Amino acid sequence: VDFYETVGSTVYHHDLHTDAIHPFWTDELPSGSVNTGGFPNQAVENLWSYPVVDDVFIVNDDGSQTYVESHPGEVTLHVTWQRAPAAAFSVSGMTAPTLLPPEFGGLEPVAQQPFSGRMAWDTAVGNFKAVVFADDGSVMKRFKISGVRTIASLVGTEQIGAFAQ
Amino acid sequence: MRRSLFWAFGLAIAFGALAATARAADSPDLTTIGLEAPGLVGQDQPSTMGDFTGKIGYAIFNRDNASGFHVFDADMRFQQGTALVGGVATRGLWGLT
Repeated sequence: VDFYETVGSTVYHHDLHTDAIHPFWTDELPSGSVNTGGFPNQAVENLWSYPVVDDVFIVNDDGSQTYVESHPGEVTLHVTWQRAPAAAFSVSGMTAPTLLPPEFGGLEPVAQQPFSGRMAWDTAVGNFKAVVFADDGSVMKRFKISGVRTIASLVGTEQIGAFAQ
Repeated sequence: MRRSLFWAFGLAIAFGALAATARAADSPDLTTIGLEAPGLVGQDQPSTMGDFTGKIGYAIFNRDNASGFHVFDADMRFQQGTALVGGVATRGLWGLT
């Protein structure tokens, strides 16, 4: 989750991510934090006070970013995938050969795997809150945004790799 | 950093071109590769977790001029199903934050 904050003439990028080796990487979610009872027409993801790290950067005029500091934080979110408007379609192929596509600077190679499944476009709506703490535990900053709609959203069922249940 | 990435997503959707984001697992036992959304039916298309079968939801959020701050970006993904973890089929729930 990223917030870009303007203070005076300075733009700060708050990069809130799980405390992993690489930011934004997939992490195991708490049991019960996703409800897929209405899947594929509805699915709900809830995270409450989920621990994150806030890496703060200054956004330079040329678009580059300069790291400033890091603080512990928590993210609370509610995302609803709802009412896929179009029929599901089949997908298949090979997974990407790198962890980030070259156009975004990621070149770490990974083994490609076959995938297949059925996916559908839908509309998701999200509510997000974040709290960032100082070293003494006091609240440094709060962010909140409600009712934000996706610019792209998918739901579906897939099998990836050689694994078969 | 990611702002330009998400604008790229928007453009990719509008023109039906292929854009991509990718992530890796923070567990050495899970080889998450990523998920590529727009363009859809084609190669390199949704590739979330290695050796995984189950349900997937993916959403990209972006809003400019949000109250109190400048830009908001998030991509959310859940993967609910079974993956091989340490060689053992494990039911679980994984996602981005």
